[in-house]
Amino acid sequence: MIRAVHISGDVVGGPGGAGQVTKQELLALKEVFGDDSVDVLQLQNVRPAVYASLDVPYLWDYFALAQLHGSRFDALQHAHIYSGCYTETIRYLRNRGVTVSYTCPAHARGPSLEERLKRGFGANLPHIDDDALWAQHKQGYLEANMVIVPSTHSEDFLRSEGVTKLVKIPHGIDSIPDHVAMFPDEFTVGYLGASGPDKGIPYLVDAWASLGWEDARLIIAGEGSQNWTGYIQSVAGKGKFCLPGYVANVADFYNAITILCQPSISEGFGIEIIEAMSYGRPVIASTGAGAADAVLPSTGWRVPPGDSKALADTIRRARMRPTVLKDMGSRARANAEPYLWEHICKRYVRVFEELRGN
Amino acid sequence: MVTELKPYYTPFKAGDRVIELGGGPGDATGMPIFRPNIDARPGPMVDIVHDLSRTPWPLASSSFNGVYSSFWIEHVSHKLIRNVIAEIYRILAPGGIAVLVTADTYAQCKKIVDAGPEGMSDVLSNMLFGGGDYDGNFHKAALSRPFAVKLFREAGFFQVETLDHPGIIGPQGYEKVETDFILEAKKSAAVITYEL
Repeated sequence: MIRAVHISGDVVGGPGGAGQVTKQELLALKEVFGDDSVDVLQLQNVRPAVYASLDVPYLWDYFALAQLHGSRFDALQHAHIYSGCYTETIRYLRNRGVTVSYTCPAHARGPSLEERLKRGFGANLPHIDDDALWAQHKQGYLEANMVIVPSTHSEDFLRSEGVTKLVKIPHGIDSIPDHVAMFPDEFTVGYLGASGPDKGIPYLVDAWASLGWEDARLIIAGEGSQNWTGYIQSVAGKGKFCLPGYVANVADFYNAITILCQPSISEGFGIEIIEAMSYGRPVIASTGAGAADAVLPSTGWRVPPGDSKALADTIRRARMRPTVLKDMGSRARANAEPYLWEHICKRYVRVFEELRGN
Repeated sequence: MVTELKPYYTPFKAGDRVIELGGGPGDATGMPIFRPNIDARPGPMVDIVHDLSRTPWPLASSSFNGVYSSFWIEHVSHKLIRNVIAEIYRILAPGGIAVLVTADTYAQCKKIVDAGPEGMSDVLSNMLFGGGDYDGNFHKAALSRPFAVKLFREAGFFQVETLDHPGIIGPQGYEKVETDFILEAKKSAAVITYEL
């Protein structure tokens, strides 16, 4: 008998941050409701094949609704939804007496259309950029029994939008690596992650281009990072850039850098910040990334989002203090420990238990 | 006044390998400044005979520090102009610079409009359409400063700017030339690798 369901447009346990978070959410749901009582609606079994080439946020709402009408959900008590737009689904479930928890990783409306065009962003985020679509999307957060946010920034943003039933649970990492490499001989700043418009990569490239160093390296790693070649050539007169694309073993990336830089414009969390800390790397994080919560003055720097000059100034300052960087890295590694999933998952369990009790 | 003449100096340095595009055969119809000179017409000062509107060019990638042309690119069909700009980008080494002296069709049209219907002349026809005295000597692309910058930026050049033509010394002394301009386009010298 299905008593709980995990709903998302992602692959639970898949690669990337969403995969890791959904995996832990599902583990917590199973701990509270029982292994055999939890079903999963996700990318593979929700989206009809005919829609495979479309990425329209609102379609997921109706795909999920269509599935939930099935009789196997007659005894459903709780639904947990990860990200995406599910306002109609949430209304339907609440009307049936099902409790709903809803993870919201967004913490800001997107950059303006003008800014996106200036920066050459190929995609946009209509469900958070457009006023009417955001109003529809936000309604889901207002109607859920509990919204889980990963950061102070997300919490502040949703409170400013009128959402009051909130709990903050940061994202985590699987383990602290036993051994980490020394800093590379060549000063190296690294970014690891997706290349979407919310990641702010052009600001990092602009910052690095303005520094013009020929004895230091910027690595932009992650699926499709090679596509930044043209942008780099159009803004950087000189400088060293490395675009390895997808990195199979993230340890290779973290051990190759001196500092991680997370220039996100809007990112609910950014697990790479915690991962870099676990590898003893100081972090320069935009406050547009939720995980900037974890960056203290003793472990890194926080800079405003969308500010390439602030990024460049901070990178320059960091490079001038190699001894301090090593100390910061050691402290960062120690500070990563509370972010282990084994600790974080227990906090999901407590939320689901409370909602089940209600 | 002759004193208004502001000479233009190319940004090429001693020792740079600079190729001239469409510099002419080395006679009254065209005299190259730089060598090698690549041109569709053979002649004593043509090092490589090739119709430059046909791409790819028989030149190695990243093989020149500089590319120079004077009143050549407007003779390339507007249908093919993006292809030839891509070739300029390809043959330039990282950090290399292209310098093109060319006609400003927009300014030419303004000059014609200002002249009025009674002011139309052989000189203005020659300005707008080219000399027309042999097959390649016709203008086939219309450029303005912003459009030229846009085309070169689209091709990947990281720094593109246009400069005033320095003017000429004519029979009446110094003459400002507002219907031509100089474009300088620099290719990034950024070193991009793809292995971690």
